[in-house]
Amino acid sequence: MTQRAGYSVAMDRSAALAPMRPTGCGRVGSSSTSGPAVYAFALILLIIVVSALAPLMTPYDRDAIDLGAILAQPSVEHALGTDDLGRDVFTRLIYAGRFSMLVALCAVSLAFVLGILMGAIAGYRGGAADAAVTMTIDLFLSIPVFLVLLVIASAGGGRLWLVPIVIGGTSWMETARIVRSLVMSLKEEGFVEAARSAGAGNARIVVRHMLPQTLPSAIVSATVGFAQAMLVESALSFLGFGVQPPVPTWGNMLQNANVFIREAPVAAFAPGFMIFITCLSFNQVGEGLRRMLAIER
Amino acid sequence: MRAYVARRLARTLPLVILISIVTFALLHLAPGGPVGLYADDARMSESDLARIRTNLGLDEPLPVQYMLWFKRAFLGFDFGASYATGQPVSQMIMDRLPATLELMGTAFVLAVVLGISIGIASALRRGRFLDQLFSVISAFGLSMPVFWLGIIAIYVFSLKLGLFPSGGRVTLGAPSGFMDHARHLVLPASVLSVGFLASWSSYTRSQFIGAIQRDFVRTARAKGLSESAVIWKHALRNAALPILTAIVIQIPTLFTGAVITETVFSWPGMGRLFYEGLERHDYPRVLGVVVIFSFLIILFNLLGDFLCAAIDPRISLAGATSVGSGREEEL
Repeated sequence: MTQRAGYSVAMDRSAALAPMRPTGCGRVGSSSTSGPAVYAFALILLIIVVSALAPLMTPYDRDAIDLGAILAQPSVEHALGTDDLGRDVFTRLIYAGRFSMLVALCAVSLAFVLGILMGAIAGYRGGAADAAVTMTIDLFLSIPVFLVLLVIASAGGGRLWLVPIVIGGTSWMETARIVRSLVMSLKEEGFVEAARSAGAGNARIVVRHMLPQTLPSAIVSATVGFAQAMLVESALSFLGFGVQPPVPTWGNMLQNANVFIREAPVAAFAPGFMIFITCLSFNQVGEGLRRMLAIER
Repeated sequence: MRAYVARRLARTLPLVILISIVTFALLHLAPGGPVGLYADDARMSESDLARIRTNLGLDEPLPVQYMLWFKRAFLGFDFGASYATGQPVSQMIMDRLPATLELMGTAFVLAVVLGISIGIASALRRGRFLDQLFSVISAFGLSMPVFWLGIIAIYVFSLKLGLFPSGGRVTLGAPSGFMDHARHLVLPASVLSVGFLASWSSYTRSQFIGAIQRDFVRTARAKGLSESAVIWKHALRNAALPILTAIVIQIPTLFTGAVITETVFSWPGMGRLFYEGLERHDYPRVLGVVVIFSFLIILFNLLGDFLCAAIDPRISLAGATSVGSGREEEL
């Protein structure tokens, strides 16, 4: 309710600008300021720092089994209790942050590169190349990608490096679509003609003159894509086909803790909450960037 | 109309075949290959496995195997027998399909009705408390891992409050009635619908805000139409098409959500069938479910496209003279 005053000011201003408009449809300035995005960014940094400094944050070893303290309730020694093997949940949670974030980062980087590559080729070349890329995008959008992903991951037998590759390899379509349409419209611009008459080759035109202009949109889609990649990884790991224990990720911790939810509910809530809050933060940062860079959806 | 349907079918049917080829190849790449189920058993010797392979026809070259499978699956709806249970896979699928459609259908209706209502309500109260509240909830919903939400729902509403059963579709041993059935459906359907609800309500909101700012709405107001006529007849009709498109695009995701939700809630549907098949390396089952899921997704996508075409006066279905009559053009 504290924000309301701010909004009524915005409403008044817009009402003054558009006096003919009936109330209720008045244009509110940026409907929420960059506030949430800044907090979200700070939160992401905090999670990164804590995960990176994991050994300094906890006295326990990541995989140390303590059969004397199985499924312990949260206490001074074990802030979030212990799991079914007596491992400290808080310790595993911050180590899991490393893997969950790293897998998402690798997946999203792959999707970013693939998306830009496919989008640029399709948009610049047009013709058969464009038809091929567009068809591939349509294909991916109309199949149960997650099922195929599960089949690949299970065929791969839980190899750690495979997880980001399959996630990245099946999530580049959005970036490609955006880059393709941007490159297509940039192709008609005068500066491309100018560059060409100055002797620039196709590669130089695309890389030096076009791609920099597509970057803001691509970065926004990658930021939101990070949250998506993390959700997919955690779902894979939760189902047991992603990253395999003892390497902890928030997804596989949740899978394990789910079995013992009656005895140790905190151990099940904590990893899910981390997935949720991290994805929320990345989505908010993406939304904030979109607003800041004034990018249309 | 018939030409349009034929053209779309001609484009989408190869997709199902392509997906089946990819899945087929993947399952053969898996460690242990299609006999992974037996290879997991330590008592099996190499010669046992070889004999099983021969018996199941897995010694044939891959293209031959695929063609045999293809002929039976696509012409006879026969996906072979499950390696794990010996049951015909098509029978298993038909047994599980109603449960999946029931879960997805309920979640879908819930998400569409609530999502569009919330979206319109937010757009009309833009910037006010209700809009802010819904936009926060929607941001939460979009970042919510569906399995975690399911786990929490089970913990709170089932284990702690005892309001709903924690899993399954009916109470075993009890006389199956409508109420019992509905009570089992509440948690999984709500959990499955959350992500879609969030996405569709925020999309409806932005589309609706875009629509009420357009010139024809101003014109309608200037002509002295009542506010409700402006909103329901002019704005909504123009926002309807992009909203519908956004809903259709998400259909594959609904199937994905069903796999996870069914697993969390032990819902006896196709998603769970697939998951268990994957866990047990039950190769005919996995292949069968992927093909049927793909087919259903493509079918629903087609239906959605036809619906879009039917409400959009700009798209003419080849061969159709008039799509709906008496529609006022507003674009």
